[in-house]
Amino acid sequence: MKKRDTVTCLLFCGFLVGAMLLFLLLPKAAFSEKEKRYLTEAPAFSWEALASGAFGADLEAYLADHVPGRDGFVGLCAYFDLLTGRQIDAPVYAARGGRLLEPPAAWDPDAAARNMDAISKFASAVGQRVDVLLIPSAGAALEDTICGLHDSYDDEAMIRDIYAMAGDNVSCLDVTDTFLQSPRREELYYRTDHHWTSLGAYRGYRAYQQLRGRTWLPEEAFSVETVPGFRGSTYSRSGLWLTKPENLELWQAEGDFTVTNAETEGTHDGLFYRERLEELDKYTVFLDGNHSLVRIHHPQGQGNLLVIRDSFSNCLGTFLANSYETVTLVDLRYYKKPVSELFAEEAFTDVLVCYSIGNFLTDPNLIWLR
Amino acid sequence: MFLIAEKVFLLKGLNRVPGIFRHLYTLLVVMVGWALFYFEDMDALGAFFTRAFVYAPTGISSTHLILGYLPLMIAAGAAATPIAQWVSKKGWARSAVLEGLFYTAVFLLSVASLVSQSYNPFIYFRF
Repeated sequence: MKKRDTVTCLLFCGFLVGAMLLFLLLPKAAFSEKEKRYLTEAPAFSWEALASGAFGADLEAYLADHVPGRDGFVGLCAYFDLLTGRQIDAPVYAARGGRLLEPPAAWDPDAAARNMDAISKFASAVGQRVDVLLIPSAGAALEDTICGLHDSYDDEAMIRDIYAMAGDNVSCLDVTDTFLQSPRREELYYRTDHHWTSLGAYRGYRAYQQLRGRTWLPEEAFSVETVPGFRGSTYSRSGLWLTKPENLELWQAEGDFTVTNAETEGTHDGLFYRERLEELDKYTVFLDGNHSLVRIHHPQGQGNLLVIRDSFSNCLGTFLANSYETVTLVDLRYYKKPVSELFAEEAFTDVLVCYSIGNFLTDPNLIWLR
Repeated sequence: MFLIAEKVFLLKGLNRVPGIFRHLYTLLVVMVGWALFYFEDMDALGAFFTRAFVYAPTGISSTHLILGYLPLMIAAGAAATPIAQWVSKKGWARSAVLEGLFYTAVFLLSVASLVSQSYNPFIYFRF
């Protein structure tokens, strides 16, 4: 054997042995913050599990979740794919200015019709006007900044087609033009997260109050607190770890706010859960993230609003709360009781269904709206 | 199955045609063979072969997918021919250090690609 081949061979074996030793010696993390999931635990050995093949599969999943330097390898692969032109197959598109965008939502005429139908039926069942707000995606607003090959965004046409299916008692709020043409459109969405920013949510709040013929708080009424170091969902999904963190803004106006939710005992003073700012995904600072049912009381406000919503309304809710006495937010992914029962308890003056276009087309839970 | 067919009659025919056809024959058999091993569901296997051999128009995203993978496919295709040996002699194989670095990089990228497949982030933590 040539000397050079011996060295190659030793290097290869060294990697294998080194990786094995590191795997055995390094402490195992139980939870992955970036993935928001618990990592696989070491499988318990039994002869039955070995015979059925379950032991082998479990062991493989366990090993894969605890490879030494796993995050580093994920990042290496993400950058290599990006630089060799395989962004098209990546979970997140990289765009100029360190921006990470979700690929476009796939048009699904059946889901669109089914969900709009559920909303129309709900409106006639409760005998009240229901407003619908669909939020265009960040990618649709900033498509021109994406680096390299990407599928094209059609949010404008999709939202228009969905709105055309609305029933009698449903009124639709179209913010597509104002969002996609806005000179400040880069500020309406986060760079490293799929949600709208506080400014984006404020624009949504203002548009909705205009639609309802109500007054709204001007931008100057808010004192803005800037929190640095935010890296959101698209950052975690991309594997592009060198992307710079961004600022997250807390917009606060005068008034008293108390928040309750179905999963937590007791009440919370104020709209922002500051302890959540210590976590990797700081977006949960708004109303403590996702809950099945959230109620915000604000004695200085007027009216009683019900919002059927996804996570975009965690931030939107902190604005709507400024105008209403009570805002009730229902997330159908987790809320499994009939929403109409809430009408018996409370007299809602306004009802809003607010979804991001992607969630509206993929969420199977809207049909349970009754 | 193909082995028996070759022993019994195919080999005589194959020996008489130019090398390129023998190459194509091998690749076809290998590809079909892999597909047979990959699919456990007969319907999915049928659907796969239908898509592979019957023309059907596709959307722009499939074109994008092919374009995106083109550099990798060209590199892989070249590496399967004597071109790779020629490139290596002119390139990294000239010095031991370079060769070591090259193989290390390729190895690490391969590991990274495998490890990435287990990376499975959720947008929200499910409660």
